Amino acid sequence: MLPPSDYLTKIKPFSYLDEEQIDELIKNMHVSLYKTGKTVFKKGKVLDRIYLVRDGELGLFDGDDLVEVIGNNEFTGLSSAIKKEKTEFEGRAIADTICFEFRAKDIEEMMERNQEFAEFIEKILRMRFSEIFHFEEDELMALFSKKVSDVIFRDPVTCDPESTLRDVVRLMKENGVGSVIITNRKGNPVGIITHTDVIDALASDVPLLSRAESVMSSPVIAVDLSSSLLDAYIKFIESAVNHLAVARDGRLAGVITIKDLMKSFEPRSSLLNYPKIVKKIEDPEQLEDLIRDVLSSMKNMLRSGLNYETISSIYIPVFDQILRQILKKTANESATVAIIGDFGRRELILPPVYRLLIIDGEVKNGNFSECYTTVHASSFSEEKKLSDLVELADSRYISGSGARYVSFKEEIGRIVEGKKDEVLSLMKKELREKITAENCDVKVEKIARLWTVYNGEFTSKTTSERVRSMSLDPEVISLTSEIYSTIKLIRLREAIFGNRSKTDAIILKKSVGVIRTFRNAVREEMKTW
Amino acid sequence: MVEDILKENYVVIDVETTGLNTKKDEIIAFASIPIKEMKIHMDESYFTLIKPERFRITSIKYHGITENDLLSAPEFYEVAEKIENALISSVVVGYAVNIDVEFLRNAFKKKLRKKLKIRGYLDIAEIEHWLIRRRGRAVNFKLDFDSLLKIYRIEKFSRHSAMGDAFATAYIFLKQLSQLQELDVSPEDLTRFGKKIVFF
Repeated sequence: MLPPSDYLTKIKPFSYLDEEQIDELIKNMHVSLYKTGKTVFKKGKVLDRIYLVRDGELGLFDGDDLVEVIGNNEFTGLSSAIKKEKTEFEGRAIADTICFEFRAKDIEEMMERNQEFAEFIEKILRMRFSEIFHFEEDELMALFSKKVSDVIFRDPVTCDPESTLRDVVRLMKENGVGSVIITNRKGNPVGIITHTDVIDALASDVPLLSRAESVMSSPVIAVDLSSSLLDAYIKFIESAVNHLAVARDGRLAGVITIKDLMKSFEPRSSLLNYPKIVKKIEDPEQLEDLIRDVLSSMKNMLRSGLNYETISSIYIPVFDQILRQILKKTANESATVAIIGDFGRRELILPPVYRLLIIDGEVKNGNFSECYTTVHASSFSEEKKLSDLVELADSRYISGSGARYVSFKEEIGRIVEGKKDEVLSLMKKELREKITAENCDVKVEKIARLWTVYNGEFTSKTTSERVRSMSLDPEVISLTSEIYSTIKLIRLREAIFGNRSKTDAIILKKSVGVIRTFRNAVREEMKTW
Repeated sequence: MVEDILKENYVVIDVETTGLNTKKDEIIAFASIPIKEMKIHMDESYFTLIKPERFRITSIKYHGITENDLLSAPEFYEVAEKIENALISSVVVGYAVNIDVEFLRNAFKKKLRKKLKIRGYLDIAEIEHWLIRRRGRAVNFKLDFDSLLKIYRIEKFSRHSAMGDAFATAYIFLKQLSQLQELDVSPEDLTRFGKKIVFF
């Protein structure tokens, strides 16, 4: 065993290697001390070694701008050394720094021999700007990717629809559970009675001898045993329930409660409480408190390695629920409301301002009106500006008559379909406009929307989904959708932390180039239309 | 002699022996790691076990080398040239290095009837002494290898093997060099206080 192997075995990804493999890396290692200010590697070079900071601080510089600091036990140079790309930054010691330097050749060889090691490194290399991201396996990310089958769930307690409420209460007591699932003769769940249902029933004088099926809530909301905890999490929030049935191959296999999930998520479980809190919102002050809370929970998520799509899918259901609660207070009974804009595409933006499309009825201007802007369906017709009509592709139903919403959306879809030539010239106009760091994400959104609308699709999808469905060079597509997500994350970080970090500023600057390439690819492709 | 201590070539060595008597005991392991321009070159390091003429190993508990390990090892004359080449163009660095050098000189003299040329040698404990005094403090504790490891926070490197100790020594020396350079120490100064032999 060679000297520094004890140290290396504690550091990812070296921890995946066995003793002999680590020794092989060490055999060709250099250990260098760089005095403060000394250049470790230049910008625009293909490195033949990767650098692990053993002691000190290594700065990555873009000109004189310090972009990122690589500290103890962190490494840099991977993407240049392994992908043979030129370094995007200059590495300079900002304190006296000792680096362990491993040969790219040895790392590559180890990647061939050790799968876990290779997977970890590939994961890093897949990310743009991987050099300036910090890679700590995030707890939260690990948790979300766990399966429902990994956490404790209980065997289901069931009864048939003919059982009485009293039977159900006894079953709960005997088995010490908070819910009983009502199954039909085939064993398929048809409803669920929870603790809360029992209390509600008794409070409204439902007799104990009533049949279970008259008390139960249905349908039963279920997750598959193989779903991720993230899926379960989102289902709990979306449906604001405390119990989910767990299905295995479509058959009832158990029950998972919000408490089970919370145990896994402690101390990060606050999001799971929101459905309850949302229901209690009566005035704007309470709403403000809640939103402040939601935003602060987002801080952790933004610091973790979760990507924009995941963060959006966690928070959009929460914001949807808040919106429904607001509408309860402000919309009249006959109102049918949809949401457009970023939230319509299920993309999180901050500060959260809902853009509402009011199809029927009215939403009062009053207490909550700071949270939303409204447009009325009646103003959308043949004569409306085409760009406004196209925006409705992002609309998503929120409340009121679903049928009314669908027929309205279809009508707009038909109008747009009849104006394909105009859509094309709108697209051309869009492609002529300047792309800057400030507008590059919006450009992608518009271009992707116009593209899909032109191709006859008028349904709400995320921008990344739309980009991925475009018939362009796969390389351009994957880079664009990744950069788009990164930019959106930067926007969130800016809104939450109140400033733009240097790293983010540089990424934005570089992103503009990628988005331009995307635009050029679209231009080229459109010549064939 | 070069002008800048950072430009000098160094080689860190460590030897394991059958005992502490430089006249009677023999070298059973040799490790060397070169340092050039503030870089430890593991890729140019050298390690070998050496089969002694007489198996009189009293210090197994320190270095963990057993008779069995040595049975198939080369004899000293087989590795002498490599050892000489490792040392020839560099300043030798080590901990209690005067003893190691003494062992090496004796081995060359006795087994090869040859005088081993050594350009100069530096002891990391002596350098540390000097550095501490230079900072205006007294050395009021035993400056042994373990305290050096603690000072430079490297107690985690595996110890008690020639290669392990040589690496730890190289790491310490690298950090000392950096401090010495800041203090404008010349190569002459360094050789002067670096090899002052402590008589026991």
